[in-house]
Amino acid sequence: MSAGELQQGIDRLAMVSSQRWLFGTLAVVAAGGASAAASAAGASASQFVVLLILGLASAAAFHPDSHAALLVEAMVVWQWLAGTDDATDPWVIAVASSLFVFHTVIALMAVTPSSAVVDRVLLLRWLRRGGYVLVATCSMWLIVVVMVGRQAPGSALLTFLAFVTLAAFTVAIRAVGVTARSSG
Amino acid sequence: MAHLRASVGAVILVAAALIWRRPDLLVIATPMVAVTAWSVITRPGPAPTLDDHLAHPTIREGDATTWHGVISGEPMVDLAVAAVSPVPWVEARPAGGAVTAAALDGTVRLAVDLRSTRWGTRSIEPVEVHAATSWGAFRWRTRTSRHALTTLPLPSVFDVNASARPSDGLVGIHRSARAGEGNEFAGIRPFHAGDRIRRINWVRSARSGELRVNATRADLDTHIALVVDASDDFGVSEGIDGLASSLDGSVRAAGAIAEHYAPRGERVSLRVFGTATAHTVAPGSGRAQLRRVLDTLARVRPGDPGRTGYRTPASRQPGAIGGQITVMLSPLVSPDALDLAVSLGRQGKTVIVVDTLPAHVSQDDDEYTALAWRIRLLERRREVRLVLAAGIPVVEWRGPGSLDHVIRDIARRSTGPRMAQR
Repeated sequence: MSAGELQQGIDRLAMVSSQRWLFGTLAVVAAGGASAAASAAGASASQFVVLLILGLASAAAFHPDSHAALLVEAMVVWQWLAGTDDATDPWVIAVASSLFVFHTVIALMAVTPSSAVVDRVLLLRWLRRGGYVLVATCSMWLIVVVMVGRQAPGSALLTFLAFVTLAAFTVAIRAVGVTARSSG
Repeated sequence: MAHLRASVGAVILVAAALIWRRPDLLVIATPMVAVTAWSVITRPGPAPTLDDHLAHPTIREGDATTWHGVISGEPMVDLAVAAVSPVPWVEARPAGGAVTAAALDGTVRLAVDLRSTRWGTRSIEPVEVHAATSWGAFRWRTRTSRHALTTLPLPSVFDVNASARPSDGLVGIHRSARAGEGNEFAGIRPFHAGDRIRRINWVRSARSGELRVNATRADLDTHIALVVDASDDFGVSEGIDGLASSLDGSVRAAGAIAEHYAPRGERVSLRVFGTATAHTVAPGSGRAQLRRVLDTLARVRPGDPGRTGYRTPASRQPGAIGGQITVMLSPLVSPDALDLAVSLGRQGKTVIVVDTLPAHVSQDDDEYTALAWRIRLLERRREVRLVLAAGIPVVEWRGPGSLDHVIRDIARRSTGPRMAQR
């Protein structure tokens, strides 16, 4: 790296807004928090994996439009899946919430330049939406707890129907989106 | 990328939950499913439209204007971002030139304040505008066209108490240097052939025994011919808030002199030499003339000393010169400027040379450059002495009163005979 490139890099870093640094820190903390929540539920990961998650989260914060964020989410989910057997463990809410915060912050960073300060109205709007999603996540956990408590036997037919429902749901959402687009 | 991440994560997690009978994965998938569904429902339709403009395309140094952008035509737009590329001598607010705004009723209003710190014409580079739907799922981007921003020089504080011949003239407030048919008494002189009978002062004629007439001054306005040397730009320019280069000094001083004289009814003309293209303003007075002079000064670009072959020599450039008072503003480093000043002086024109070389020019981190400058300044001192010896006053620009002393001298000299080479 030449001195000129180094100076350009330093200049670019100097232009980064303090809010951007805050968002980047929040993204890394959220990813680390998700991994820590999985460890608290019994899915403890090796130090190398934790460092890898934090490194990838940092990379995602610097390059929000890269695939690093997807890798972070995949690794945390894999950590949870490999180390936890209890489907009703309340730590799953912490894992889901942390991953959601990570995803949202990275998405917001991807649409704003590094020197920008996100408008307060916009932040409050995203926070309100995030609150709705977190309420939905807690509701889903309650449903899971109730369903697991019933100890219903597995059924291939029900599983097949669930897949069909999922596909139908996706198509329906897609159709609504297309309708909204044509009317708009 | 955010939409892809959410949708891929949602589908894989739900599928894994079903295949491996892990309902806890459904909990982890819930935010992804919700974000995906929300994003698809708010999927945008036709591309929105952007209208943008600069609030004031012409401003003064140190003043600010605002770039406005309005995105409309797509109700699903959630937020928009505008980023103004850095432009030399233009400060953006917010710092960095990037601004975000939330959509209200399908319309996003963006505004970036731009403060120009140095005179000149420059273009605001195309503004990068991004719009996104909820959760940043779908994005739309565009670039605006360039916007021309003209920054007029902010004239230095300037005032002249001295006047060549103060009077209430018919056009300006300063009297013409020429004697002629006017109302202002200039003196008593012997009768010459062609003098009108009514001009004879019979009392003085009776006392002296020969015909004497009352001499008057012509009722003409003062003509200030500004000549700006733009051959080079010496020194550091930090805009209106910092150090000024030689061209900054010349342009601001010329603007100050024009702002002092033109609105008072005096005729002001401008000629810039040493540039690739000639810049001239014909004599005129009033506020419109002042605006013409400032507009022309804003377009001045320093000539490239390495391309002297492309520059028009000072003596060949067209334009008004040699008015009643010619004020040349120059750092006096280029030989063109010195030659022009001396040649005008030898033609009997009234010339004042204003030295605009900044004091900081010889201060350089490189000791050899600083030494070279000191040597050049010694040579320049000798050249300035030669100009002074030719009867041309050279003054340093100090703002108010800079020209008082020399204008008084000129007024005194103009009453006597003068020698000129023709």
